[in-house]
Amino acid sequence: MRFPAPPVTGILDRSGSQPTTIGLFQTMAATNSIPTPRRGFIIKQMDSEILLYRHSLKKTIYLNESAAVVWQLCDGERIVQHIVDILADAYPDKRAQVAADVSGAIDSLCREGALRLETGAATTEQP
Amino acid sequence: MSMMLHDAVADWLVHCADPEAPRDTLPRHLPSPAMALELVEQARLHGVLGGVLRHFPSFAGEPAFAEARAAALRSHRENLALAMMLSFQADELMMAAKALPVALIKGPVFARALYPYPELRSFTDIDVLAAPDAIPALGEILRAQGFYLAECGPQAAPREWKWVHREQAALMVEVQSDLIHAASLSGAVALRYDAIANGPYEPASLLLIALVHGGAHQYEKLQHVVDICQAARALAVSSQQSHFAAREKRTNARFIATAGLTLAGRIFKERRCLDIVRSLRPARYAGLARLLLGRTAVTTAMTTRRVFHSWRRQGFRLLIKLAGRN
Repeated sequence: MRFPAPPVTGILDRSGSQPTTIGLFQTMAATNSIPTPRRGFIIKQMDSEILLYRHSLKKTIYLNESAAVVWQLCDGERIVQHIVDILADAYPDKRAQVAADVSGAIDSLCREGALRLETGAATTEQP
Repeated sequence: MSMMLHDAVADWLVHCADPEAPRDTLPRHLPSPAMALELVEQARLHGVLGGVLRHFPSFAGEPAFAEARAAALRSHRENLALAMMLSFQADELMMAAKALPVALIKGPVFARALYPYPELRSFTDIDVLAAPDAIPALGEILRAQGFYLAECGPQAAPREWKWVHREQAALMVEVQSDLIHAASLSGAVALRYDAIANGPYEPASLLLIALVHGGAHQYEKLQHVVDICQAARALAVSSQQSHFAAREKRTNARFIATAGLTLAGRIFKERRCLDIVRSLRPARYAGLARLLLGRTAVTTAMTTRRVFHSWRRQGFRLLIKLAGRN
């Protein structure tokens, strides 16, 4: 793995089968929020990459190696800061970059509907 | 389309495409990194990219081949994403249509039933073979699932209906009343739902579908020949072999079956294919078909050298018609 390469997700575009890349990331997930996988996604592992498919939306999301690591750490229990810490321990000289990339990946996955962010009992993300 | 196909690339294409080829006997010449890009492109066009990614040894960590591997992964990722979407849609469709005389055929069925890893068999649509009476009801189900009828043909007597999803154009369902759509082959060979109704997902039916499909396309993709080879390997027991013989008779497909099995047996050196041929009654023109179509005609089908072999394909198509009349 080449973390911290920017985590990039792609979607299977509705007009065809070419995955399109979506950009990095205007907003940052709050560091004390808990990213939780939404139900209904089928997960397909390809080496170190992941494809997520949600049939109800007819949407496929592609996670590259870095984004796949972030996704796998989003278990509905860890807060964002904890995920950053785990990866920053693995890449201590890139801590700031890791923090930005993790937040970016989580924001992107939330926008795509694969994650929702929870803060304690409250849910901060769209229904 | 590539300009040409190097012999070494063709050797690796065939080797990697076969899911069950012995991996201790490799083609003699390893392609250069540039030729590996050609291999990837050819594999993509022939529908055997998953096999190349899995079986081409230079993709296991050799930096010089990183560009070719990355290109292969890009296309493979798209194939997988599409296959995942199509498979779920196919399951949903068949669940809703379970009371109808219809069967899912080709792509998702072959991937699950014939290949050791489903990702080795890519596909780009969902094919359904339906009894004519079931087609209006199946259309209603498709509409309810978000599809619209995009096309149907041939105009005079439709045998194929193409449905596209309103929200996801990559989702396409082809409903067919006969696997042979071409009017020019009509009457020579036919594969309708009633021929496989007793067991649409049995190995005998899968082999017959692979043979008729590949033959109707004159094996323009290596994937067609791999399907035949895998289906022949799956036809393991003698009871299935007799089911196959009965269905082949019913569809008038002995010539196409003999030609396809012979071709697959020769290209992949698979004795099982040739054993099944020997169990069938002799087919007229089978010897001519063997002369017309061989490995080169198949492997060059996605190159500009295709033109040198197009007469072979046309000849084979003519033989299908002639054999069907006898």
